[in-house]
Amino acid sequence: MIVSGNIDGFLLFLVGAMYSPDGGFFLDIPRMLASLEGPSDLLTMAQELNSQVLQPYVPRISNIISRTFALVRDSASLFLALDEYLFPRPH
Amino acid sequence: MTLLIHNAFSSLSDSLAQTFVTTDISLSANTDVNAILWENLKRLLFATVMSLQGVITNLIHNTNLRKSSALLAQSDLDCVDMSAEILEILRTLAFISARMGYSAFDEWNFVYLASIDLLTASPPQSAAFILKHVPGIRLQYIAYKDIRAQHPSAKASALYFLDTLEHLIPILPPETINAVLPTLQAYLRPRPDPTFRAHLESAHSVFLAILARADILHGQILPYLDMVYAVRSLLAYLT
Repeated sequence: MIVSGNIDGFLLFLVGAMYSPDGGFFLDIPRMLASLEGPSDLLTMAQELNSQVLQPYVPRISNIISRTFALVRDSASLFLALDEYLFPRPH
Repeated sequence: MTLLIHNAFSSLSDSLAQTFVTTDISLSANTDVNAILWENLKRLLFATVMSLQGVITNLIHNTNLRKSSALLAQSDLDCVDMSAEILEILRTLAFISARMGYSAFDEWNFVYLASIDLLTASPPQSAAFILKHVPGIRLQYIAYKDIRAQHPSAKASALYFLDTLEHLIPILPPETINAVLPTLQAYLRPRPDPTFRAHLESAHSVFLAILARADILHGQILPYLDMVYAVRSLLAYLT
C-alpha cells in the first residue's frame, strides 16, 4: 500500500489494527473493566497486554498513524478512520 | 473502541468505579490489577491523542489551503464535523484524562483547543454539540436522575462539558445558553463533596464567561454575587 502510494488504505489498515472492536490492540480492555465486578484473574492478562502489546508497539504505531493522518487528502477516509475510534456514525 | 471502553467503565457500580479511580497507580502496578489497568488506559489515551494530532494537523493545513485557494464550502462542513467528532472522542476518554489532569498533557491540550477553535466556526454545530451533552439527561445508555450524578464517569463527563461550554460561550446563541442555565446553576451551588470542587470552579468560570458577553443575564449579577459569597463561606468552613 505504501509502495503504491495508497495512503488512505494504509491509514485505515493501521487504525483498524489499533482500534478495531473485533481485533484491535485495546480489544480486551472493555472486557477487563467489566470483569472487575466479579472474581477473576485479570492481573496476568492485563500485565501481558501492557508488556507484550501496548508498551512495545503503541508509541511507534500511534506516531505512524499521526503522520499518516496528516498526509490524507480525502475527508471520507478521515471520517472512516475516526469512526474506528467510536461507533460508526449514521450518515 | 473508545465508546466501548467508556461504556464499560460507566457500567461499573458507583462504589467499584470510585475505588477504581482512587487507586494509587504509582505504588502497586506489579501486583494490583487496578493499577495495571490504569497503565493500559493511559496508553490508550496517549495513542488516541497522538493519532488525533495528525487529524488536527490535516484539518489546519486544509483550512490554510482553503484560505489561499477558495475551495468548496463542503470542506468547511467536513472540518467542523470532524472537530466535533474529535471532541466526542476526547469526551469518551474524559474519565482517563480527568484522572491524569488535563493540563499535564500538552498534546491533549493542543488537540482539544484546536478542535474547539475549528468547531467555533459554526455556532449552530457548537450549540448542537453542547445541547447533546448536557449532564443529567443521560450518559450514553445509562440514565442518571441527579444532574450531579455520583458515578466517576458522569462526573468526568460533566466536568468536560463545563470546560468545553466555557470555551464555546462567546459564540453560542442566547437561547442555547438559557437552555443550559438550570444545569449550570446546579453546579454553581457549593456542595460538601470535595470531588465536585473542580466542577464548582469550572461552573463559575462558565458563568463569568456568560456575564462577559454582556448581552444576556443582566439581572443575574446580584444573585450571582450572593452565590459567590456562599461559596466562600462554605470553602472556609471546609478548610
